[in-house]
Amino acid sequence: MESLQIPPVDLRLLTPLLIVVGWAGALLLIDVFFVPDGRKKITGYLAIAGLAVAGLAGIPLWNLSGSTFSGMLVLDRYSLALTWIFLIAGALSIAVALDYLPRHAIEQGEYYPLIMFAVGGMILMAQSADLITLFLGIELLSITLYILTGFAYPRVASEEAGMKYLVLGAFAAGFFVYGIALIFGATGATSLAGIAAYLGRQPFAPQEETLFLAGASLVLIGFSFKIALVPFHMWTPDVYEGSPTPVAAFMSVGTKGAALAALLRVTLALEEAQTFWLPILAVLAAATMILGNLGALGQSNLKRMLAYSSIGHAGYILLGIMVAAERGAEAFLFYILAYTLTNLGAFGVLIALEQRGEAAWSIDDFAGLYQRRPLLAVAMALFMFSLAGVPPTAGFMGKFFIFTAAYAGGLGWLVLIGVLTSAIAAYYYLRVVVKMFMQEPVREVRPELTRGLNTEILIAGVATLILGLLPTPIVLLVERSLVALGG
Amino acid sequence: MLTAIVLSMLALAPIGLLARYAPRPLIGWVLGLLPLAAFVGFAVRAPVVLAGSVLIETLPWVPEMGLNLRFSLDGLSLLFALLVSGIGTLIFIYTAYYLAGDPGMGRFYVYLAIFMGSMLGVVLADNVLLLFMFWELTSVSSYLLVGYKHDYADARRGAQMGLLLTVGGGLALLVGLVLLSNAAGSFEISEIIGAGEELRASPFYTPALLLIFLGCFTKSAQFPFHIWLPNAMQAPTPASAYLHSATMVKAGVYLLARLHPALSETPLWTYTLTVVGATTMLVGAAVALRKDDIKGLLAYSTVSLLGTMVLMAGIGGHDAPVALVTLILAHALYKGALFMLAGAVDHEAGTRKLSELGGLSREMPRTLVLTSLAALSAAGIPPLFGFVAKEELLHAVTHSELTPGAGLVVVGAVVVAAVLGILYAWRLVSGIFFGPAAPRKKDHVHEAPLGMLVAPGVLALLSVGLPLGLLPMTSALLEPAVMAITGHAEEVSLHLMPSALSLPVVLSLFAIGSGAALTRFAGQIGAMPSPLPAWLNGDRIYDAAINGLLSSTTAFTRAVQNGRLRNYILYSLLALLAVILTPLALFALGSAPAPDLSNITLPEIVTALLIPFAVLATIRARSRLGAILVAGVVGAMVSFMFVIYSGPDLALTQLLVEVITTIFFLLVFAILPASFERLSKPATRARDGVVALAIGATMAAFTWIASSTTVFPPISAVFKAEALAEGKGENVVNVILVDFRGFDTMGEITVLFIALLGIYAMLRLRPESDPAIADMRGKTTPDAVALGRRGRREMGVAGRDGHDIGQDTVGEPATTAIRSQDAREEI
Repeated sequence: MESLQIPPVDLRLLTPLLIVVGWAGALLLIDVFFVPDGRKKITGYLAIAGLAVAGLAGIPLWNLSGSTFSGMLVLDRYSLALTWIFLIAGALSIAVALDYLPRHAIEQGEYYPLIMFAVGGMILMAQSADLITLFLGIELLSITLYILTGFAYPRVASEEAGMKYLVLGAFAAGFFVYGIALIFGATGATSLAGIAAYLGRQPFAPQEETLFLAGASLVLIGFSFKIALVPFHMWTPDVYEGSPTPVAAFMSVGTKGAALAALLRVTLALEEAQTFWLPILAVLAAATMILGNLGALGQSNLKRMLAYSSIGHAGYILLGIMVAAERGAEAFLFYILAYTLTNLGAFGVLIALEQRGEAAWSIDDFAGLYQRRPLLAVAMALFMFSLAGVPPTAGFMGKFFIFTAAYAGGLGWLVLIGVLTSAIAAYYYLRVVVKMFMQEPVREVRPELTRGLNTEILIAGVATLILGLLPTPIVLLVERSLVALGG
Repeated sequence: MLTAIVLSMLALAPIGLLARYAPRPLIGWVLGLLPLAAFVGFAVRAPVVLAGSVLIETLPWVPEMGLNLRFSLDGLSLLFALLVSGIGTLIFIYTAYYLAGDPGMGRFYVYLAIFMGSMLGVVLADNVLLLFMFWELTSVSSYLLVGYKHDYADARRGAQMGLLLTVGGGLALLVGLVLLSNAAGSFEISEIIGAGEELRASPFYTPALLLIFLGCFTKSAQFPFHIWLPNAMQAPTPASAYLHSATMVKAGVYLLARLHPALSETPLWTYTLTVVGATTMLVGAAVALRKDDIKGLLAYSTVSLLGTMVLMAGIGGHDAPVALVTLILAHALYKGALFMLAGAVDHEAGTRKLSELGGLSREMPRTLVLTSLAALSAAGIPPLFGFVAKEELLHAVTHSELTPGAGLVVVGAVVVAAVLGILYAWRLVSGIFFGPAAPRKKDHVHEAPLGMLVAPGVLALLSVGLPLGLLPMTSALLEPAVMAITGHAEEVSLHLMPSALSLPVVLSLFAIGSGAALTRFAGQIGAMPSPLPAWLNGDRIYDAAINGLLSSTTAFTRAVQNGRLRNYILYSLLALLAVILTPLALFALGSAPAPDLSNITLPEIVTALLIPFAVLATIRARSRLGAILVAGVVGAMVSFMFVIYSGPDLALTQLLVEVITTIFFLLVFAILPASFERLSKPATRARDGVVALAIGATMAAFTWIASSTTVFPPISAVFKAEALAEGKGENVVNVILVDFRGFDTMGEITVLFIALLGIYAMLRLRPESDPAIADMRGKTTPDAVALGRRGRREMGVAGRDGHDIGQDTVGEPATTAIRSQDAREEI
């Protein structure tokens, strides 16, 4: 018998991930020993630099593809594109926090490495081709987020948010792992390729696959918690409201995006079992679109409204995942990018209005913003229009791609729900615009625009417009990035 | 060239900011060169188009979604393009006078230019998606204009309504257009029009058409969506004149005319448009008569005219398209003028309520002359252009393709609307300029500056000039537009004087006569109480609908999203059962293989039975310490299971973990009250118990099934065989730990070490003064309890004292009241 061999490891494929995680670890120490209190912004800048380096390091990998660690991690253009999106999301979330943290007297250097670890977890999820590594990524992301959610100690709401997120997150993790175990029991594999091979060996007969069905359902429920799909969404509004706003911004695009990206891979692997898998996704998507948007309708707290809106958007994105094998994956990537930038921009405006000791999240605080800060109001209007899917913004293009892909993929009734709920959504997004443009200020809110915030809002705004006006280069990039997926 | 005009209009919009540095009237003449250039650009191309050819330009934009920058200029587009750019020029000039001295004027010009660019885009686009994008852009930019400065206190409700209806309608339009394009196999409008036969036979015809109607009706303020237009009148007057009468509101009419060749001549098309158009026409005219606000009056008269146009698009027949384009032109001329003049009156007199005006003829004679001209045209009095249009209109309704009965009703409706039109035109002029003068709002009311009257003057004079001498030219301009609507060549010859005493002429004379006779009673008619019950009011129905939706969703959200973690978990678990069990139930699972129960021994049974017993005891325990200890029993039993199944290493690990967690529990619970309090009702506990049992049973069942399925050989055999040979050790577990899984072990050790460091750091770095530390070091327990209470109160996790996490709930959360009550005043 030949000797046991350590499987070959090609660390090149993990360059961005290693840079992010390594840099974050180093930064923790640097922050403690070299960065004086009160100047923790330096740590923030270093973190952004690290994310930028990781992004640049990814460029040479564009033409590379392969897997390592016994096929548990893969590098393909899909994962690389997602990596870049996540790096952007992380960098923007750090940019908005640079002044937010000191203003709210919660400046601690750990914030920045923690965001980096979370980004690392997201990249790991994007690169995972195995349920175990996927779980590892989810936990790396979640645990850092539990801390970040409660970061505004001793603000009560923040503590409570962290607590709620932790308890429900622990439930989710438990279901996920149990699901993996059951799938392993049924198929003898935890790798997506192995599961796909098991399903492909003969026509899928659900009545003989009790264990597999149960396992897959549990894994899906784990995903649903992370993505905040209805009815596993209930933590979202409370947690977003309670956590520091930059963290909420990061969560709204980060956790969601990474979990959806992983779900897309899983869905592709389960292609043979779609008679069972797609109907569940369809029901979840429908419930998510309807209840997410209806929930947002009554909110006068903008942070909560954005939380519900992010739930609704996850429903739309799910449509893209369901038809991933056709053009859905492209639409998915485009939508994720558009949504990430738009939502971060909207949260950026929210942060600009927030002052120490009081939260300006009520929709009334936006009243008359146009008279006082025309540019900020126009930017917010742009984000609202994009979220509502009004052209010529990124959000419109994203919705158009998703809906046409889903329609072509035979999901007509879900598209109908999508369009109807978009109409409902227009109401609550446009209400903000109305407030800003049409009403006199109710109370004095002095928006504070600092350099980091300005840059973030500018980047998000310009990107939202460009993606809406000239989407072709990005669409081509997205198309090319899916070669490896066979999409 | 077309592309260049549209895009440069959008790209050059920022030069409007120049006005910020010189908010003087002159700037209007300078900036007016921008739309004038566009006007000239179209005028130069007019001869080619009038000769019957169509200019088309294509530039790929987002080919992936079938979106191309494809513009075409045919007769219909030319008519609209000339109107948009021509009136735009006048509006640019007028604005400078109207907003003179306003520091925000620059912004206003920017939005105006953006609007004009997008409106030109709508009428020139030859790609449905492109058209839609410009369509929405007009909504958005019009909104910026409306929001520029609100004259009314109740502004935002109206503006919100307008935006909501037009954007929502736009969404319907998009879906309709995409369905249409799918059926026609192309996104290009010219090709869709060519595929008329197929489209009318397609199963998508009805849904697509209804959706497109929805889009057009909302944009063009058709009944019952007309409510937004009067509400949008808070916009500065130049915007009202431009958007809400001359251009934007006609976009819906434009689209109907554009799609006319492909989609018309079905009962659905004809009768929907006839009914909606006629209703809008009458409702608008009737309400206009009763309005006190000049702009409100003009807004409703616009609604009435838009209804008439839709009616013309619907009834069919040889003359309807001619009447349609003539009306579009006539209305743009006189209504644009009237709005601007109303603005001038408002500007000078400080009010636009008829009841606060009157007798202005002496102070504002020039305004009087121009207003009278425009109003006469609006009333359809010869020899003004409005009369020519009304002649065509009556000609069209008497020669429609409707059934005779329906035709008769429509003729009656048009005549009534014509009479009402004369009445409100009379009310407008007499109410402002004649009659007893109401107390003035301003001290020295005087004539508007000459420059302010230039723009309305041009339009009013065109209403006179066109019929008196320029009719052949007008006919030539309208002919290709009619051709675009009907799809084949038509000859148009407008004439002022009827050649014979035909039915339309008689009707027209009748309308004028009765209108003139009734003018004496115009005041009384306007003051009559509304014949409709109060609830039958578009605004009210809209409010009720929105309110109902809001309050029901809010109530639902409030019920589900009540902030209690306990409930979240409960709902999540129920949903989990549904998600797992539904597919299992649906797929009618075969019987799961039964595990082999023959060789179960007594120790196994005892151990297994002790676990649920300990769980039950944990739940029932009164004291915290007791609960921890019995919970420990569960762990111990699990460890014992491992011992029974000969896994000493696992047993050891499990035991270690159990001990450590118990210690942690004790540490944490030391600062919590010693005993539990029961807070939930027995019924609630019973419900929770049932859910917990269901979850537990489900999970156990899966384990049961899993244990009876073996799809691959256990790895233990390999390890046993290889331990001595490869690892040089007889203790298999040792070999696994240090050899086969050496890296794992190293990783685990590292993790443990880092965790230790972390804990050490946390304990060391906490300030000595922290009472929690002091307590943990064995100081007085009562203090510790008090601290615990205080701590929890600070954290907000317990609104009521003694409300604790393990037992019941996270309490009355600080963040969870959904503060949506106040959202209702939003509507």
